[in-house]
Order: sequence, then C-alpha cells, then structure tokens
Amino acid sequence: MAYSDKVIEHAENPRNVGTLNKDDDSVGTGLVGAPACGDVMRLQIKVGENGVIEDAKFKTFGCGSAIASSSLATEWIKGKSIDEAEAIKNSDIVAELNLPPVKIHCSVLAEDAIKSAIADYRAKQAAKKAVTEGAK
Amino acid sequence: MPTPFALFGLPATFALDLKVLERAQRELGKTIHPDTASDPSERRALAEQSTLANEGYRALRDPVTRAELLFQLAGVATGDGHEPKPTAAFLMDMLEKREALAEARTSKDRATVEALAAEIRAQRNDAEAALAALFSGVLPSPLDAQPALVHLGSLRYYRRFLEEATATLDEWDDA
Repeated sequence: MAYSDKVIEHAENPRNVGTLNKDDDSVGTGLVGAPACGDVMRLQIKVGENGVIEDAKFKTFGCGSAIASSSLATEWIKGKSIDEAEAIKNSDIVAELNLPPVKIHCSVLAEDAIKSAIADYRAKQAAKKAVTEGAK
Repeated sequence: MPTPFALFGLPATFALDLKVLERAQRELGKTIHPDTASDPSERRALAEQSTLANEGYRALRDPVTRAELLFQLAGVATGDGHEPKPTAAFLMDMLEKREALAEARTSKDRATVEALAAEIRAQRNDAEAALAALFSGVLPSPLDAQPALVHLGSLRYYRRFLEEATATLDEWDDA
C-alpha cells in the first residue's frame, strides 16, 4: 500500500519521540493499543500552570501511519491549552496525513492517546488538590 | 467455496498439528497441480485451485489467521472495533519489552534479544494453549468469545514482537 508523502515524512523523521517523567504531577501519560494490528502507543504531555501544553513526547510501536499520526499529534498539541488539544479529532489527522480508509484506526489511536494523556493529567491534578485541601 | 479446513480435509479447530497440515497440503498439491492438465481451460481452473490452496495453507499455518477464521466460522466479528481493548498492564508490558528490544538492537546485544524472544514465545504458547482450549471441539460449538478475543489480540502483539526479534537476529546473521 502506498503511503502519502506526509506519512512517509513523519515516519522517517518522527517529531517528539521520547519520554517524560510519568511520576511528575504536571505530566499526563496516555497508553493505548490497537489489538487488531498489535500496535502500542504512549503519548505524554507536560502541562504548565496556565493549562498550556509545554511539551509532548510519544513512543509508538506500529506501522508508519500509526507513527505519523502520533508524531503529528504531538506537534499539534504543543502550545495548545488542554481544552484545545482535547478538541482535536481523528478526522483532522486523517485529512492532514491523507490516510486511506484501512489506516483510519491509526488516527483514532492518536486521538485516544491525547484524550487518555489529558485524563491522566486531570486525575493527577484532582488527586493533588484533594491532598492539599485535606491538609488545610 | 470450502473453508480452508475443509479444503485440506481437516477439522475446524484451533489445535492443529502443523505436520498434518503440511502433509495434507502436499497431497492436495499433487492432485491439483496445473501441469497435470493438458487442456488450457482445465489448467487455468487448476491454477486457480492451487492459488486457493496456497492461501488456505498460509491462513491455517499462522495461528492468528487460523483463529480469525474460526471466529468467522463461529459468527464472531473480529478486527477493528470488534475486539476488547488490551488492559493497561498488558500494553505497559508490551511497550517496555518493545523498548528493551529496540535498545538491545541498537547495542547489538544478542543475548538480550534472544532472552526477550524466548519470553514472548512462552507467552505466545500460553495464549495458543488457551485458544485451543476455548476452541475445543469442532465448530459449531459454544464459544466464550470475549476471553478468546483477548487471546487473539495478545497473539497479534506477540507475532509483531517475534517478527521484529527474528528480523534483528537474521540481520546480524547475514552481516
């Protein structure tokens, strides 16, 4: 199957590959997988005091489209507020990368990864707030 | 069109002796070899049958496609959107092992690649044994689909891992 130029570009030069400290309060980690193809994707965000995503990293073991989708996702969410990042739809990724129908699930995985990282960050913040308030 | 199991005269079950499959494929291959026909249209028909037999053989030999076939015969949908999501613990384990494999590949650490592959192979064997038990008997037989689908998903992850490990070792052997 032919990959689009943008997929190849991202797959060959993925942006933001790496790891953030998952134990840091300001870091949210999303871990998602697609059992139909055996892909696993981790996406992490570091959120500033103002609710803006300062940094994003990913690690994906999967096909070129899955790598490209997560690479693009990290590029897009950096500098966005978590609410803006949460609004990103898999169809935006499909359109940007020209993903064929059989690879749409890769973009769904990337959207799930963003949402899962944000949910993890919010859960950490809520837990921190509960502890702080409990101490008062 | 007969199922690949029927094509080779085998029972539709997961526990399949690969030697028996191979023998059945050889036997069938003899009877449908295109060279045995003199008539061009007959030869074409045999060529088509040979293609089907080859595809069927490949589908049965791979435990993942064999399981997919059995689900299909049992009327259970597989693939994107039809299978339960892997647990966080499973994904974490696979991610860590894939990272360890990638590191071992970079540092040319053969012992680690082999150890990781052996570990995954053992997990794969467990998943295959579990699937064989769940697909016990010949279809149509009652199937507890959810746990079986979880094992199918795991098998795909193991297959991916082992392909990567094998490719790495082959590359080093060739160098």
